[in-house]
Amino acid sequence: MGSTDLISSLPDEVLGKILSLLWTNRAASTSVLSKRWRHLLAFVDNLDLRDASGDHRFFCDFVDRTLALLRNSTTVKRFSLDCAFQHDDSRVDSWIRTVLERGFLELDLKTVGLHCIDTEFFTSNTLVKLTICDGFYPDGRLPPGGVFFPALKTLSLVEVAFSCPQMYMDFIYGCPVLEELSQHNDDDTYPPPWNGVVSNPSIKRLTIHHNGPNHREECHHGCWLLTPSLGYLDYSSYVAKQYDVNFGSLEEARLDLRSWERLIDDEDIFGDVSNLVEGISNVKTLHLSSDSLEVLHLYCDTMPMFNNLLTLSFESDNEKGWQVVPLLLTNSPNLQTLVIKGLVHQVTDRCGDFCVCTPKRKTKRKKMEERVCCLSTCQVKVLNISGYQGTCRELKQMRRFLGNLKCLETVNVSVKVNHLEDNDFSDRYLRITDALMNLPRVSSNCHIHFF
Amino acid sequence: MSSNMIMLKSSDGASFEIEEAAARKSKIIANMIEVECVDEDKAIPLQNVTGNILALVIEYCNKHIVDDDDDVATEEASEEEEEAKKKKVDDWEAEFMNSMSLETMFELLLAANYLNIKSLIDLVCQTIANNIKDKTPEEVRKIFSIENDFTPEEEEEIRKENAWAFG
Repeated sequence: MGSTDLISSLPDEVLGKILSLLWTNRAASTSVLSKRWRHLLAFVDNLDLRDASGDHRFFCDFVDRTLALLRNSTTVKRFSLDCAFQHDDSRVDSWIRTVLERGFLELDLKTVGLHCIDTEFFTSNTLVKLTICDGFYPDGRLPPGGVFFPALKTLSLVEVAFSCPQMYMDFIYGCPVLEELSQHNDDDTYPPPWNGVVSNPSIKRLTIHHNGPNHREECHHGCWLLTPSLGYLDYSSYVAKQYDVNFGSLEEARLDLRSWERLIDDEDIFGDVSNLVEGISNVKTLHLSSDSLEVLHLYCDTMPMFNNLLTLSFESDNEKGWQVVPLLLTNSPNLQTLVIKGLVHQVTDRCGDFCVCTPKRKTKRKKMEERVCCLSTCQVKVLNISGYQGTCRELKQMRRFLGNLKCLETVNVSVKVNHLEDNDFSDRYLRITDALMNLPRVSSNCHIHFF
Repeated sequence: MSSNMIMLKSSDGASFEIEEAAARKSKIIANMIEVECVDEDKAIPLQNVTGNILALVIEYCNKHIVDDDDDVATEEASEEEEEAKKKKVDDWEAEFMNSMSLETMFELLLAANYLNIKSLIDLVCQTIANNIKDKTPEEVRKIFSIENDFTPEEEEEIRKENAWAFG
């Protein structure tokens, strides 16, 4: 280790950059290193303030002083506040206002206690990214013109309890160039914080994770996603009674739809995802959870054509069936890549000719064999299988894929062998891969890779 | 696909040939190429960078030019491939940073700052920050040979001012 102090000879802005990468309490504690470091906090571009990472009794004083120190800063861009303790409301408000007035680009707010943000002043011409978590909630009068953040591109709302659905809608509407909205509602203790509506003409990426099984009445009612510029959708929720969607030119969708039946034994519950599925039918890439497979089977009356679909990926679960898969495949005439995360699924007699589940009655089986297998008309070139454990049933499934997919060029298999059985590990791995390599392939151009 | 090669010359007179696309990671060099119409036969002189540091900068740029090209095709790549690729780059960067002394690291940071290569500045700053992040001021002074020029009273005063941070 050298004996000369080289780090202190770095320019102010470079040292400021290094300090910006630390939690702000750590960055502030470097002020004691030497006179060179005394005021370097003024050059940071990022304040990461977690009251619990220091002595919280002095937290407010520190934030007040630091914001004053950075009064003339041209570098500071991000302010992140994470409160595990209750602080004087008026001081917290003054920090938020200072940040909004000073031209920060990014603001993160999180608190365990409840803190109302006065919406009348919750506005900034420069803010590009905003995250609100937990106890912070906006309420009050709207800012002038109803516009909150004219430059905001990315908004994340995590467990934010808006006082009323109207405020939520006004808030989203008050971000006229918003491109990315992400909202997570998992907490059951609040009344449902989201009324199922997203309406915004500019949103390109939308993520909704909505898990409120205790609020079935409200959540189940309906879901309206009116976002005509949308390119990417990630939607995870219990099924709603009805959907009304406008997705414009959606490229990619990720669905995790869960059915109420799994949760509550109630005859009255039903849902209808037909409109949602119709709305996403232009996608090029579609990801489905194992629950979604079941929901599409039960709650989608008409399956649209997926003429643009190039990549379909789905997960399997040994308690959920693949009933809907043959239909999806038949309706996706241009599919190139099929990704299956785990081959083990619930045995049903409705998976048709896609998989190896065999119907119990022999006569029915015979009928099925006479029909053209949906795999043999399928154009899939790439098949990716992960979590392959090499059981007899999985091998049979692979035999069906390799024996019927005529256009197959590449098969990637991720083999999952229990590492605990160390001695057998390579033996077992070899047995599994050998068995796969020896399967007859209908496509002469088909290569199998393991990873 | 062949691409233009350009010459860079370090402060101690060493010459390096580098693909133009890689050299363009430096905003200063990109600017020189565009605005000042660099003569193809003449090397670009870099007065503030020595040969051994310039070699590291070029190694970094060459490595990352490939990654940038790959980014264009990400839509086709699966999540696993993306992750594997990212891990490969991360591993390379970790190894790259691990291989040099603190002294070299600071010189590299100054060079990256002068040449304005944002991703390299970020990488070196992050490496230094990782060195500091869970250390006491005394430990940080020791690692970087920083001399404490405060009187005990002055130091006490600063600790008091930042009572939250030292709590």
